[in-house]
Amino acid sequence: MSGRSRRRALRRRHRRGRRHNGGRPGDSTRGELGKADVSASRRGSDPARERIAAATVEMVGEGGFAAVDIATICERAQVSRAHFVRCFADLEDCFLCLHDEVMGELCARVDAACDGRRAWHDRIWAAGVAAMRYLQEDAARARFLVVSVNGAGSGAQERRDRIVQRIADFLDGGRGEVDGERPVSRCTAEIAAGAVYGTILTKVQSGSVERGEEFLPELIYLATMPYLGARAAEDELLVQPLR
Amino acid sequence: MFWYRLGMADSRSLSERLSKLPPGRHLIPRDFVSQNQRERMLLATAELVAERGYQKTTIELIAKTAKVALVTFYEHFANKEECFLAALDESVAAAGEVFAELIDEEQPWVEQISTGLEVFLEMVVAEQARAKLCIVESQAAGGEALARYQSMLEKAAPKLREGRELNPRAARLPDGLEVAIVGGLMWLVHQRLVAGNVDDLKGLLPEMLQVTLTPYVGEVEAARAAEAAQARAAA
Repeated sequence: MSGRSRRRALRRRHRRGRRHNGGRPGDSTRGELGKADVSASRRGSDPARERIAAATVEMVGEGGFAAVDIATICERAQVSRAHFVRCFADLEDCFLCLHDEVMGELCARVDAACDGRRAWHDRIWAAGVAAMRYLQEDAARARFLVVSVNGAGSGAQERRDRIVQRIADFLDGGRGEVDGERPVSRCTAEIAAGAVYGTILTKVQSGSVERGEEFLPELIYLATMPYLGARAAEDELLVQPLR
Repeated sequence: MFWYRLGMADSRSLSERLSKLPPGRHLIPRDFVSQNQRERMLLATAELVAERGYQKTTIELIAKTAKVALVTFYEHFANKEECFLAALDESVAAAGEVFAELIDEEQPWVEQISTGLEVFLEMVVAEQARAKLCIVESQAAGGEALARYQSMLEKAAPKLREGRELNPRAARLPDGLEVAIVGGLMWLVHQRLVAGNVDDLKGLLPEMLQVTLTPYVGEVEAARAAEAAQARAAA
């Protein structure tokens, strides 16, 4: 191939790449709040929307965000594209709204499990068991919630950051458990939350979340070790909570 | 400053680092020109991605910032992702060289970890664009980039795992402990980078050390190492 025709071919490849990338939902730069509001106002008891939600969660959970598009979701949900557009502004809006809904469901379970428990240590265990059971119930939903937010655009990243911050808020209560004069700030909770989230991500990604009873003590160890100390946290590893 | 002592942080301004070779006919070997263009594109990618994020960085912008033609971009990379991954690999390799150079394997393990964390934080502060590329954007740029991020965490784990020799009950510790701790430390830095708030990062070293060392040497010994690090920083 001559230099000129090679350059022409490279230019063509560039244009093809731009067309392809142009349709990526993650590239959207529109404001998150406006889009979420639109969808929230359209939410309600709509069986077709429920089918879209179920199809999206399942398909994104199976193949990741990059592997889905509106056409295949509509096909799986047996709804028209027009109905999809009535429910959601676009694919990213659909993903973010449903992620918020699934996350809300998980948080409600965790809150209910912690209700009435005052001791930090009890609350950590109750939250861990509730979250683990929720993730174990549906492997695709667990991947949708935990794995797919990585690499699905800035809105998804914000959701992921919110999840970890919420874990950090929860763990930060451990400061009251620290013996002695050792200074502990919010940054310890952030490290522990990052460690807990990373472990959950790895387990969900590898499909081993179904054996949650094996690694829940590991999560509790990571959550409590910075506050209770090495020895007390190691004792958590001997507990078999879900059996 | 470890990082500067090694001379790995380039003190030239960005425009100097991105300046292109003389135009027109010259006697500079073709391989050198090609290598120089590649380096400029990788540097431009790191800077742009840090400033605008992966999604909003385009091939046109990379080429324009690196002062190369679009066709030159495609001579080196098939697409934006490939260029991003090359920039990521190059940055991780450079950081690995710094760690290998500055961590003295003859030192006690606690000191090696303390030095490693101090070096890590200095690198983040000195090279914020690269740090953002490796720690923030690698988690936003798709499946392959995320896999590289996870492999980066795994690379740091063996050094940390050596600490198990200091804990007589190490057999009880979870297999994934080291990757989890490194992930937790990265998350803390990630949050600071996203907020554009890395000025106080080195002040977090004592608490980071405390969490990192506790599983291996216990909280009392970890607190001693954290205090020593704080005293060094104050000095």
